[in-house]
Amino acid sequence: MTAEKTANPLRTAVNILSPIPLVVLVGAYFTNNLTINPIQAATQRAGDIAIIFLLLCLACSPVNTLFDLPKVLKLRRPLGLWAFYYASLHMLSYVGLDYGFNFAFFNQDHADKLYVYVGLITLTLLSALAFTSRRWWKVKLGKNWKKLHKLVYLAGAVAVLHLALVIKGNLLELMGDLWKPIAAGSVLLAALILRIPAVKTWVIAQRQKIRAARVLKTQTPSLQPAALDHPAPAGEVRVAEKALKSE
Amino acid sequence: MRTGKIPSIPSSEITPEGVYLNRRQFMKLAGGAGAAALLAACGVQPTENVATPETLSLADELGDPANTFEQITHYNNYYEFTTDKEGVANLAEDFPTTPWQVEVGGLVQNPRTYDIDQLRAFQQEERIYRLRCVEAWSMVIPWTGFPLAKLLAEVEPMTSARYVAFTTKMDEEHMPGLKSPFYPWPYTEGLRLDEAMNDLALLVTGLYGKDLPPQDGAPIRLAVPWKYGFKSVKSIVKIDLVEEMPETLWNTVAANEYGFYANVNPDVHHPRWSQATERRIGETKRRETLLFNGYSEQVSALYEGMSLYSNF
Repeated sequence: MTAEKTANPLRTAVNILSPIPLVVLVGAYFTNNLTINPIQAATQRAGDIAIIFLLLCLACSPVNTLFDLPKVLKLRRPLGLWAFYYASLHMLSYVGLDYGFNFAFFNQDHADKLYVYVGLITLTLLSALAFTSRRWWKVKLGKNWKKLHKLVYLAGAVAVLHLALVIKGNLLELMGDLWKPIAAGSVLLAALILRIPAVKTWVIAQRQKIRAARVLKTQTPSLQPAALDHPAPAGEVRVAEKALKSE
Repeated sequence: MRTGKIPSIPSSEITPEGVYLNRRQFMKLAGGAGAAALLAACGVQPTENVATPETLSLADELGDPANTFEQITHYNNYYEFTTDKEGVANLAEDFPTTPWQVEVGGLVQNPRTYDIDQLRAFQQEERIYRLRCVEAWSMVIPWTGFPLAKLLAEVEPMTSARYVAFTTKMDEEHMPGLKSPFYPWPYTEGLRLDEAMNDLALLVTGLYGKDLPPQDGAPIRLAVPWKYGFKSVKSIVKIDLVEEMPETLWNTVAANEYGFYANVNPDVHHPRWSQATERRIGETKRRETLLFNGYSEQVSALYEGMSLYSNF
């Protein structure tokens, strides 16, 4: 419990920075700086921000795999929650600001729109994850909590699909207004690839090898005499030797 | 194909007379709200019934006010520059529109290349049209131009000509959006010949009584107000009379979404955008979209006996 509470400047930074896009968006809206079609712009911008947060959240684990930064893992919860907040804002802006909660209009316009259903699935997944993100649920659900929260990858995938469905053009034929879904899809794909166990193990092994080589280099007096003043920690040497042996 | 009588409406009928007269006055004053003051400064004494900001207001024949010059010139779908609607005005600023020629050819008796000044020499009229974008927003725009039919009459389409194909300028140096590999440039559009002959189909050279700004398709563009905005092709360099239905850019990109006809129709659903309702730029509430964008009277005869659903 206390370990969870240890100060993590990264997490503090995320919680301070995350509302800024909201402040900018609301400010632009009320000062008439949000295009001459502000409602559509507000909806689209909130959606873009939500996807960015979701992708950042999904990137935490791969970043740790690549750079051995376990502190980053602590950002998954706040980033995921902000993704959920912005996705809710996106939906509220569309249904509330744009359609004024006029569901007769809304349904008439959307009954046959695939992107609406895909968007709703995304938001439902994010809501479930946000709702169960508290520690209390983690304890209560035990092993299942982890399983449940793997759904964040599915949420990422349906979010990108939603984006691909709302652009003008055709993703399959690579024609149209495609840069956003392509960029988001690439980040998602990279994150997913780095989650494949074999890939993850391989990347970690490579990383350790590189570090081992560096540690051994500084350990060799003939090569780097000055390094003696800063001996590598015993643990790292052991890891380095192990990594070399396993070669 | 039906090629019945072309319904024609003089522009004085499109706009309520009072508004029209005010507009004439406005046109005479050639400017915005400050025009009176400006003229006074030039030594012209404003008369009693001079246009005030109130009477300067323009409206379409349904009584809806025209969008402002600022709105019309700073929210543009012009992918040759950028997909960012607000960014077009800036990027198009230095787009060279002189010299400019439009090649009119194909299945015509008198193929001819027009210099832009020759096109401006056609008798210009002001028409306040609604523009309904396929993205579900709309504007009311006071265009200046002349009916496409007048140009076509000069070149005399052959009897074999059934369609009119339009091509937009491809200026790689000034149009950064052309670098996007995701579009089959150049921008092309088309109309059936009888649609092109309809009096509403306007070749536009001006906006609010001024020369058309580059971001709105200078120096010459089309306005077909009963169709979604993408049919109103900009910066035209070529007009071809052809026998077969021509390929058009958006139809090539996604045929299931952007039909050749693209008539505004609230009942023909589109997979992305709502077509039953729209947002008039400047308004907060949505309004219901009208069949043929409110121009049924003038154009519905063109589609008699034709399914508007399969020919969307």
